[in-house]
Amino acid sequence: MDEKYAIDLEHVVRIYKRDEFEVRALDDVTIQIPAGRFVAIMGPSGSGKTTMLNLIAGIDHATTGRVAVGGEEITGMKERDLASWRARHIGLVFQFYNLIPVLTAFENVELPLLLTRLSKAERRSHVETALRVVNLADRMDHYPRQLSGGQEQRVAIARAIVADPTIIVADEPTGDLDAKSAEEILGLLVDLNRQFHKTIVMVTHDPRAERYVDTVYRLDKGLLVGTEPGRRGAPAEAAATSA
Amino acid sequence: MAIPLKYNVRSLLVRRVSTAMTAGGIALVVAVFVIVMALVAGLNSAIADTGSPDNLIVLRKGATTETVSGFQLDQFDALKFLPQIRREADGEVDVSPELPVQALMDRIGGGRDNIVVRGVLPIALKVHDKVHIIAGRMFAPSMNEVVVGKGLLGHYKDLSLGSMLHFGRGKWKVVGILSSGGGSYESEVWADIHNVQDDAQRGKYYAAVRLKLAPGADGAALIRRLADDPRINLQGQTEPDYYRDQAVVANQMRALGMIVAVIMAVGAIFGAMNTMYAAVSARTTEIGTLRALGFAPGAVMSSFLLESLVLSLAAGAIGIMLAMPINGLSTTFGNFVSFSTLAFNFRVTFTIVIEALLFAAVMGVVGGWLPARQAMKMPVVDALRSL
Ligand SMILES: Nc1ncnc2c1ncn2[C@@H]1O[C@H](COP(=O)(O)OP(=O)(O)OP(=O)(O)O)[C@@H](O)[C@H]1O
Ligand SMILES: [Mg+2]
Repeated sequence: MDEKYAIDLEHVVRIYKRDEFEVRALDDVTIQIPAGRFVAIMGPSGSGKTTMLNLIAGIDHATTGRVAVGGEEITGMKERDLASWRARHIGLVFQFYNLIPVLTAFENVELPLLLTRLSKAERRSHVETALRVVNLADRMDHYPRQLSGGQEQRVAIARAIVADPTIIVADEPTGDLDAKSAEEILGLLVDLNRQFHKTIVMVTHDPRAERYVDTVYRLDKGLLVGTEPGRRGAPAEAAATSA
Repeated sequence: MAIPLKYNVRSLLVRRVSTAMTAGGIALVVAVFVIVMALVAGLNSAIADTGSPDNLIVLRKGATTETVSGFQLDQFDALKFLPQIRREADGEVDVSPELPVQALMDRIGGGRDNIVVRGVLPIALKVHDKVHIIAGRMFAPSMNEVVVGKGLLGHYKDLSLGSMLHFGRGKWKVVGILSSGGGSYESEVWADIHNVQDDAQRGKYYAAVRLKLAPGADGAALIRRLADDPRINLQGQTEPDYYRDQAVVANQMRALGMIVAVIMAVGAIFGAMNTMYAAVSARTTEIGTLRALGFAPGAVMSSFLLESLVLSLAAGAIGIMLAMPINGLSTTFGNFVSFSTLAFNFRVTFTIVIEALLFAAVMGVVGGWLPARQAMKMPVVDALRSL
C-alpha cells in the first residue's frame, strides 16, 4: 500500500446478506485519494455511497479487498482496536448531525476528547477552539434542541475536528439543511481543508457541492463509474486515479 | 475515559415517566425489605434484650417453653438452697418461681390478643435485673394488683396506670408500669403468683424458675446438678440460650420476608429490564454515534449498566425513605412458640440500610445486564442506519 495516499481502497467488495438475498453494495471498487484533498462521492440512492464511507471510517468491514487509511491497513483490525483507531484518525459528520440530545454543545464536542489523555483544562480549551472555528463559541451551553439545523451541523463539525483527526468523513452533511445553511457548511468544510489541511470525503446529492471539491467520484449500483475533477480548479495531477 | 455519567442521569430524567414507574417498583420492593428486616431486627433485639447471661431458666425436663412447663413445689424447695445461687445481703436467695399464663385482652381499635400474665414474687425484680418499675409501684401480695409492661401501653383497653383490668376470673388493679430495656417483659403483665395460681384454679404449681448465679459460680455444674439430682430432676438453661431458641420465630419471619422480597424483586427486575430495553432501543442511533466516535463496545455496556444501577440505587434510597417512618414504631407481634404477644419496636439499623441498597443495586445490575449487552453487541453500521 502506498503511504502517500490518505485513503487507499483496493478491489473492495461489500456484500450484505439479507435473508437469502445478497446485495453487492460495493462491487470491486479501487480508489486512491491523496492526503489533503476534499472529495465528493455522488450517485443515486442505494449506489453504495454510505457503504464506502463506512468502510473508510472503519465502522464497517469489507467482504473482500483491502482498505488502508492514513497508511494503516484497517481491513483486519479487531473491533476494540478499530474503535480507538477511529477515535484518533476519523472525524465523522452525519446527515442528521447525530448530536447527543441530553448533552450541551460543549459536552457533545468534548466527547471524542474523553478518549484521549487530555486533562480537563486541556479538553476545555480544545472544545472552545473547535467551537470558535465553527463560529458557535457563544452557544456552548445550548442543547441541540435549542439550535437550528445548521447550527447543530456546525456543532457536529466541531465534534469531528476537535480531536484533530487525519480524515473527515461526512455523509450528506447538507442533506437536511436549507440552501443558506448548506452553503455555510460547505464553506466551513472548505476552510477546514484549506487552513488545516484535512482530507475530507463527503457523500452528497447536492450538485452545488461540485463547486467546492477537488474530485467527484460517481458510484452506481456499487460500481465506480466515473472520476471527475471538481470545479474548484484543482490542479490536474490532483485527480485521483481509478483502477 | 468512559461515557460520562451525566449522559445516563439526564437520559433517565428525560424518560421521566418510565423512569419513575420503574423506580417506583424497585422502591416498593426495597421498602418491603426494609420493613421486614426492621421487624426481624426489632423482634430479635426484644428477645435478646430479655435475658441476662448470669440467669438460668429452669423448666420441666423436655419443655421447650415456659408455657408448656410445670413442676411441683418440692422440686422447687430442693433446688432453692443450692450453693451456686446468689444471695442478697439479707440472706434472701435470688430464685424466682414463676407462673406465666395467657389472658385475652381487648386491643384498642378492635380484636383481642393473648397477653402473658406472669405470676411472680417480689424477688423477681432482683432476679430480672433489667426489669424496673418506672411508674407507680410494685404490686402488693394477695391484693389482685398488677404492674404492666410499657410496651403494652396504648395498644390495649384499660391498660394504664390506675385502671381496672378484667381478665381470668377477676378484676386487677394496675398499680405500676415496668420497663425491661426493650426486652419482652415489656409486653407482659406481672401479678402476684399466689393470685395467679388462685385465678387459674389449677393448684399450687410453678411453670418455671429463674435464678441468678452467684458471682463466679459454675453454671454448667449447676445445670448438671439440676438434671441429675433425683429430688430436683429439672432442666436448666442460661437465659441467652433459652431466648436464642425462642428467636426461631424471628428467623422464620426473616426467611419468609426474604422469600417475599425475592419474589417481588423478580417483578422489579423485569420492570427494570423492560425499561432498559426500551432505553437501548430508543437510543440506538446514540449508541451507534458513540461507538462510531470511538467508544469501545465495553464502554457502551458499562454505560447502560451504570444507568440501570443509578436508577435502582436512587429507587433504593427512595424505598428506604418510604420505610423509614416505621423506625422506632412500637408494635405487637404474636409469638407462635409461646402463643403470646410480644411488643417491640421496629429497628431500621445501619446494616439494614446497606443491605437494602445492595439489594437495589443487584436488581439494577441484573435487570440492566441483558439490555446493556444488547447495546454493546449492536453493529455500529446498523445502529447508525436505524434513523
Ligand atoms: N446493513 C445493511 N444490510 C442490508 N443491506 C444494506 C445494508 N446497508 C446497505 N445495504 C444495501 O446496500 C446498498 C447500498 O446502500 P448505501 O446505504 O451505501 O447507499 P447510498 O448510496 O448511501 O444510498 P442513499 O443515497 O440512499 O443514502 C443498498 O441497496 C442498501 O439497501
Ligand atoms: Mg447513504
